[in-house]
Amino acid sequence: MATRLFLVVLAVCAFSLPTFGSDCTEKKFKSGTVCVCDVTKCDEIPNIDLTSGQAATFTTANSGARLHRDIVYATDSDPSRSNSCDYYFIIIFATVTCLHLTIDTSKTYQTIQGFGSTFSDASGANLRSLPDKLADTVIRQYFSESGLNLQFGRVPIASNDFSSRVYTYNDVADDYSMTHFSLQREDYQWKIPYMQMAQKYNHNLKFFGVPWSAPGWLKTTNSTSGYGSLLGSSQGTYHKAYVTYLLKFFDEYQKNGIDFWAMSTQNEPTSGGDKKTKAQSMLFTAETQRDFIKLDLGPALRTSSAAKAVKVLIMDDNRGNLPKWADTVLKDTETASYVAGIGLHSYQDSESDKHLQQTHDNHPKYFIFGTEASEGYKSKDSVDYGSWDRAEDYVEDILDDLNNWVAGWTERNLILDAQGGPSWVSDFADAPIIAFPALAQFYKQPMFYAIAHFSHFIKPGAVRIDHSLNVPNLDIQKSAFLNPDGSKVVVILNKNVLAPYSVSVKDSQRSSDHYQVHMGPRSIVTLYIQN
Amino acid sequence: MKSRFRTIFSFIFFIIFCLGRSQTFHKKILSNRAHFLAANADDCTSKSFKDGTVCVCSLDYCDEIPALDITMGQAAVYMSSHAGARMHRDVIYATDAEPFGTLHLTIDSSKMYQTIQGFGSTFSDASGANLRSLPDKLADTVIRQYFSESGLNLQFGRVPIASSDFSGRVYSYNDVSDDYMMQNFNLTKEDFQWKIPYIQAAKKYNQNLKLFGAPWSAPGWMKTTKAMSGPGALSGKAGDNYHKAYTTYFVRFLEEYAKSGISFWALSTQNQPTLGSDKKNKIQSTLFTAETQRDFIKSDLGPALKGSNVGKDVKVLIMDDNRGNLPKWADTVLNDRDAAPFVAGIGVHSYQDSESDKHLDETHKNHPNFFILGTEASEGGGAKDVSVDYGSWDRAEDTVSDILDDLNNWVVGWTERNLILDAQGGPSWVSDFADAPIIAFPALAQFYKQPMFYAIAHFSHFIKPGAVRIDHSLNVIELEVESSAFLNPDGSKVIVMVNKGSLVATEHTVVVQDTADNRNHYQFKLPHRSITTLYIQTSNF
Repeated sequence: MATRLFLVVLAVCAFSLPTFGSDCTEKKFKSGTVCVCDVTKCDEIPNIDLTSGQAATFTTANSGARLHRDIVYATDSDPSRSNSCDYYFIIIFATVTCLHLTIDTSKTYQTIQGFGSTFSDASGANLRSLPDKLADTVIRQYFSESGLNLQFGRVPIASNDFSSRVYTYNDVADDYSMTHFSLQREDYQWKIPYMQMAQKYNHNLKFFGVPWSAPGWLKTTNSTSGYGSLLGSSQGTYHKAYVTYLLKFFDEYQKNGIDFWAMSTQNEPTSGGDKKTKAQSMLFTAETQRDFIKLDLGPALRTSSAAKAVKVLIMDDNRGNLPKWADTVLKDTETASYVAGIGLHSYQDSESDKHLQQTHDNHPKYFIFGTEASEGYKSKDSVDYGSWDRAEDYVEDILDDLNNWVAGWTERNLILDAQGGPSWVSDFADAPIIAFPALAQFYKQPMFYAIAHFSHFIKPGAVRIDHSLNVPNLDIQKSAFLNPDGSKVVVILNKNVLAPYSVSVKDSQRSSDHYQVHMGPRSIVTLYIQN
Repeated sequence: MKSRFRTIFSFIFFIIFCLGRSQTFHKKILSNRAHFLAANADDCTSKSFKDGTVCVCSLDYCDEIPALDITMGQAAVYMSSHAGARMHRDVIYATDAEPFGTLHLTIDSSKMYQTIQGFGSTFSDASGANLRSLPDKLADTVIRQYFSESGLNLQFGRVPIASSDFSGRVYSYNDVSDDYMMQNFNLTKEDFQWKIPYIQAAKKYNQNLKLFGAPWSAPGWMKTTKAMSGPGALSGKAGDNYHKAYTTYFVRFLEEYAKSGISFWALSTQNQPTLGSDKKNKIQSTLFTAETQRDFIKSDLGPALKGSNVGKDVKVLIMDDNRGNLPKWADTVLNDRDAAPFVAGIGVHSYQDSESDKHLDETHKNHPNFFILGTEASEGGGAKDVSVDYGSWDRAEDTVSDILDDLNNWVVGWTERNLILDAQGGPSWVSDFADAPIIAFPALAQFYKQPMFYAIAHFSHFIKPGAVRIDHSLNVIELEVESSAFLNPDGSKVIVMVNKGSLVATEHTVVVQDTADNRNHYQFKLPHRSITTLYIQTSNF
């Protein structure tokens, strides 16, 4: 009885005290709270610091907590049987609901490769607008193991919508042998220095290059920006020239000590067929992409010294194109031999999961990888300071992807300015970090912590495992993972704006242990169970 | 005979009228095309947003106001518009005969009103922080655009005494409690990094720059609330320790700035003294009523300034708050014969400019020897507004209306709240974000000139210090058109007109006639959603 009362008190405290992640220097806005970092101080994720068999919850909530750590002790008995759950029900607002979440490490799904962000020109420009030491803090917060532990860096090949101008690496028309190919000041000032800095924090960082458009003179429209496709046909002059262009990119980056893990054939190839597109784009259909890989790109990569190990990703577009796109490209066995995975954007994540499930069923040997996600695009407030809605969207987005065979997830920009740019085409968006050079500060948006709830805890090589709730619940979304070292990670989102939940997590392979997770309204919890 | 004459006369008049019409019609097409071209052909490197267009400046390039470059008797119109024109210059020639016009504006330089002292902006911490976030050369461009004669030709610089809402933190120059002698008075890094360097840079472009200091709050320990931010008044009453200490604080401020070669033209007694009684107020403030301000000036501030080397020539401004407080506030302070001799003018903010002009008219009537100076104005500060609205023409229009309304009602100058803010409309420690005429983009080493910048330019570049407002009247009442007219010390005349009509069809053909010079008429187009300045060079006949 005394224990029960004690638990009740604990629970009341957990629900009623909005605890800020120990270190967050908070700044409040209409939509929520950001954490402010400057040259002297930036909040860190508390160490996991557990011994074998222990567990901890890390909580982030709209009410203020940012990765707030609490030790959780396993209990022998199921709390539902001991009735303590009913106790919460009586004492706290009469609204606490008890749920049972069972994870099963014997049922494993895809291997998680990791999370990433994009070395866009806009990110580099903003990093450069901050004092060097503060730019280093941004990179450390993202790429060090104590931070977001990002494993992937997406690198635009030449300019994109988040550049300040339209450029390619060779704008000299008809230079088919690419003798005038040259990296630009954007590469030297905004990309390479920060990619190298990130490598210092993660020696295994994997880069993947992505072109938004070929040089205009290789396109049907003679323009790098706007819609249009590559001139000619496979193995023709234009296609060969473009492949030479792509290979030169890897050569030049290798000269700067940077090797690439993969490349995407084309960012959002369907945008290139949209006459309203203003940003850099280039049309591939699944058929032309298949032929381009088979006849041009694939064979050329194998003969290149800098790029022979570079994996090829296809599609790099929204899920609505699946599984048809993958079927078209991968059912061609010769093409399929050049391909490693399928790139996926998150802008149609409200569409059916079947797009992903069927893709995996049809092509189980090809990984599906989230290559771009962002919030605030085309919204009235490109940057919405402290927005919890956007953090929630991110968590839902990642959960939905990871529960449907996706192996990783990539943010669109590391850091943007207060306008959500720069972007030459005014394609402004939000980002997990916003730069404020005037005061030598940056703001960490709730989205930053949304990613942290996954990326800091789920290690590369982890596998997604089975998880199920005792009753269906629309407020609660979740997923579960088994790390290579045997630790388990459960990420749970409570979307309800008023109701707290008490979730009892049980490992079906260790049915003696139950972990009680208390979730306030509008909160994200990562339960980390040490092996 | 007589009737035949009349018939012929009417016939000739009819022909002239028709010719005039067709010519006007023809010109209208041409001029529409000119406006269209102007949108692209001006020097502005334009970037378009939902609400309008900004001009982008970088290390390589920043658009300038075209030089007047006209000879005696000529005139020039400068036009900015929602469609994209920015200070687009056209020379116009006077005509003897009165040309066709849909609007006739008569100016009368024999009827003179107040003398215009000039326009200004504020060396806020936020402005300095943003200037410092830009490359030095680009920060210098910002200062030149504002303070050089070829730019906005600003004459005034408002300088917050210690921190304001547009600071990165709350600080005073002496946070040591009970240090009544101000032995621990110290300027801060904000002064040395964000204010003084840019004030000095501005002085290079305008050697006659007049600075006025304004405190947002006394140090917290002097206040009833013991806190700089939030409501509260000075502890005690006029003549006591706290009030004497506070005047010492003012004098020490002047002394410390003098060490950097910066002297002040005036001091405002208190920024928005009424804020200090608002319990919901979060920013730095100190409450003065008209009565306590009167007593503070009479017993403490006035005599202390007169008795100090550094302050003896420094003018004192009262109120520094919205017009709704007038004329009562001025009456209370200035009807006191002991307080009034210390006072030079009345500061007015623009946040109640929709209220009646009588507040200003009556103030002038009651106190004709005291100038009324606009000490603060900004857009986008409302809680529900978008702080920074890129390219907003609405805000340019608001700014023009605001300035016209003030100048037409005895106000002698007008001061913007910040020189330059970031894309969020800050920094502001209390998240009191706002818009500004210039927005910094350090990531690309750029800044944007908002339409508001040009709104101010339409006045400040042309109306010289010492100009007088002169009488002006329109032949018809046209609610969407507002105007004012000025006579510069060199005899040139300046007319500023805004057309707020949103339809293309609201374009006006304006004919300006000077009663002192019946022979000359100036005709120009005032397109929909546009601002025009007509500058008539001195004529000697």
